[in-house]
Amino acid sequence: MRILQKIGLLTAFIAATALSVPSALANEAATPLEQQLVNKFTEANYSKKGADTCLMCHKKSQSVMAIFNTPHGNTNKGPMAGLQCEACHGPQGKHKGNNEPMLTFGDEFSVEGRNSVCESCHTQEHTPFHDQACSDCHNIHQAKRVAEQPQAQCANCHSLQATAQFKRSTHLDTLTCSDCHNPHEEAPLSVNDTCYSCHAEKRGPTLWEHSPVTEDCTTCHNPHGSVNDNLLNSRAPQLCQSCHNQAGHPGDVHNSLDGFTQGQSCMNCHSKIHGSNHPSGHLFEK
Amino acid sequence: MKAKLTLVALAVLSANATAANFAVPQNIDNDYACKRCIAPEHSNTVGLMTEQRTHLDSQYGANADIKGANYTLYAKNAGADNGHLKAAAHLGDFSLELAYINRWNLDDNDIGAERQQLSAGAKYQTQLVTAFVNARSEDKQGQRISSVVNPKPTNYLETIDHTTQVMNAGVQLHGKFWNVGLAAVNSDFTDNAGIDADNRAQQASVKAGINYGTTRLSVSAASGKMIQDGPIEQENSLVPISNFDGEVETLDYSARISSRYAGFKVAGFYSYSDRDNVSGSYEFFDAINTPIDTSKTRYGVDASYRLAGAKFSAGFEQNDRTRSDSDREETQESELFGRIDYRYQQLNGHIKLTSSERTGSEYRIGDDIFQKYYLADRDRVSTELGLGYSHNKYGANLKVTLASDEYSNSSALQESDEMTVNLDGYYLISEQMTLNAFAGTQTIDSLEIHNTTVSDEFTYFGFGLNKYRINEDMTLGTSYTFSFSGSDTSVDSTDMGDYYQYQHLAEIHMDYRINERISTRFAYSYERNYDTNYANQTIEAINSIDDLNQNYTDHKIGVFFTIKL
Repeated sequence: MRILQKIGLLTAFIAATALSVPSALANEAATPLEQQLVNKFTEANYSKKGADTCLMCHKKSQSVMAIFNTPHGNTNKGPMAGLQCEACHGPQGKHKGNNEPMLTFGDEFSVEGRNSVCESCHTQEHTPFHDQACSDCHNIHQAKRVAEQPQAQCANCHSLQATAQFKRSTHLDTLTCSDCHNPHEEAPLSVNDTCYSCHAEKRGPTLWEHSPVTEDCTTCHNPHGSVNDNLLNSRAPQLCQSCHNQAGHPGDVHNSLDGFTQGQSCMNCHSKIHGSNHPSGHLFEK
Repeated sequence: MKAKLTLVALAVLSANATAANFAVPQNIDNDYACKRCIAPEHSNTVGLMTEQRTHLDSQYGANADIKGANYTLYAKNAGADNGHLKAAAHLGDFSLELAYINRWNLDDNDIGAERQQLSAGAKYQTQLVTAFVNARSEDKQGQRISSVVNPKPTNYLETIDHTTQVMNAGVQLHGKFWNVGLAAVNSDFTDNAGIDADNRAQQASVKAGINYGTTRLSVSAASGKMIQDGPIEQENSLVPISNFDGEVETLDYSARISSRYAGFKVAGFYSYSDRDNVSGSYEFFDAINTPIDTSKTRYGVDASYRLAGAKFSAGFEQNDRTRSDSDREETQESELFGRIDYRYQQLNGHIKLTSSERTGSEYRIGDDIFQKYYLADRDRVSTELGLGYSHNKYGANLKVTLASDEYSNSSALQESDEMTVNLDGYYLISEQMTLNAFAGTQTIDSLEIHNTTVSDEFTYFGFGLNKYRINEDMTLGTSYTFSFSGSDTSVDSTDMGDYYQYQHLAEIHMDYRINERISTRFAYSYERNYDTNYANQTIEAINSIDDLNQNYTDHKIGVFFTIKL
């Protein structure tokens, strides 16, 4: 595995060098298409009649007209009270007749270029760090601004997490990404608080606390999914033994059918593993 | 590490470029009439659904999508498992919303829970102010496995009967380039079965954001309490307290600043979270309870630079933690990553390298005791490689991730290696028909001391064929998914037996429009589910639950009617 990592590092270095040199020589801001749009914005050749001009042709498209059922289609405030369609799609210029390109929010435009439109009014951005266009998830022409299946949009980048829906135990059978994550906010440091919003019984504080439980639920559980029961990172007793290898029981090598490996494994006796309120519960047995 | 820094340096030093800025201009006069700005009429619909199954209970539910001038009503399979219903009304700047959500998650042995959540909210929103208040109550009922030593360990099914009530309220002011808000939340938990102790939590928070050109700054702070105040069982006269007054005081801060200039984006962040357990410490017969305090600090910087079709990113992050009454009270983890994205016509690709190192304060355990894995020194490296091709008619994506964790020699967990491959693709067979397919595999191999190996394996594949239009009124669709989860353990060269779960899920449906107003969907699905529970063999030492295996075939027929009003 280590050798693979080193090969990966080397590949990245070669790729970086190979990609950087021609890119640096090219000395251009964006694609020629984007440059064309920059020029159009500079010329600022806006239509004299606003949306009425655009809708002469685009009225036929249901997906275009659907904007009038959304807040962005309100003609008293927001973009439709200003430059209307051209507020977001740029000045018409010679689009009508000559089919000059408009800003379409497709992949052919840079993330920065697309987001610069939305950021004129909205302050939020995708965190944590990675560039994501607002329009990758939000279709502002639709009444439901976030796509029908928001988790499908998340899966475009977060495929590792999304495929956990097929694992033996998973949260993704009844929950969607946004039930736990707010893509516009930094992930909370106290991960447990997110878990407590559904698992309030684990909040405590209990009389006897189990340190990794108090510190971070993900020490033992993978919230997206696991091949093990109860979203556990590994099965018991191996999960428990990755900390408690010398637990004081007779023998640390549990390789036979006994009370350490069968039933609920360590939890056959230590059933209150999330914390105990019993006066004799310091070993989480009661 | 050097390589990553070099590639970032290369990117930073290369040509000076300008990024496209399409910000909405504020200074252009207009006076449009907009005669064509007319909202299309919304088709209000109502519907009924039923699913008849051979293995599980039959389901009946109602669907609705109704929009009036001042109200909306949306229902999806309301009344059936995992259905929901939402009703909203708005008058001027005020809006009210009522919602019901069902979440049903029980396995073949009736282990799991059903949650039923009712919520009501009110909101007042103008261009300057947003104020809201929400109340939510959730009942959770079901069963979970527990165990008691009496005198030998006996596993049994324990009742879950929980109620959680949450109330939150807040106010936010938003200007053109700034926002500031206050919010508060209170949550009460009750176990109606009296098994888990009741508790409550409260938190007040303040949040603010400001934009200055392409620079954004957001800050937040929150202070709260988690309280569990309940009686303690008086098992004998030596119990020093009759009531445990448990309380944790919480404090959280965070700040983030990001800025774009030309092709550059730079961001910095800092967050701090403190959990101060102020509960009392008492001398019990067996031991003294010691409340645990924890704190977490995370900060870092990241930057990206875009040049033509390429983007170069790099970042650094530091994660520090402290916990009291522990073998190791402080741990520090630093992570560095570098990433290159490249797009050339229909092709795109990326490579990401991450390296992190965890270390910490001295251990307070003897040299002959192995260290806990979540506290031990650890080196982690991972490589992610993505390749994609998209064409109007077909496309494919491949993602490969390799990750490796190496722990210090004295850790109970020695190493863990992970490999993941995901592949998906689509093909537009005709204008009406799209085929998509996906497959993936993941392996996680871990090694613990005493030559214990754990091999987890996960494989899935499937396809979907969407919207095969037979005629104007009839379309067909079908999908199939297979998934396999397995885990294999060997302890000191003894094979401990594997356990595995697999599922075949095949579905076919037909949408048929009877007339302008009535449409139907008929669906059939086949599910074959198998799940071993390897660790449930009958042995003398414990009383385990008889049967935890799952082995069933389910045939489901669904009928849906939708009527346009």
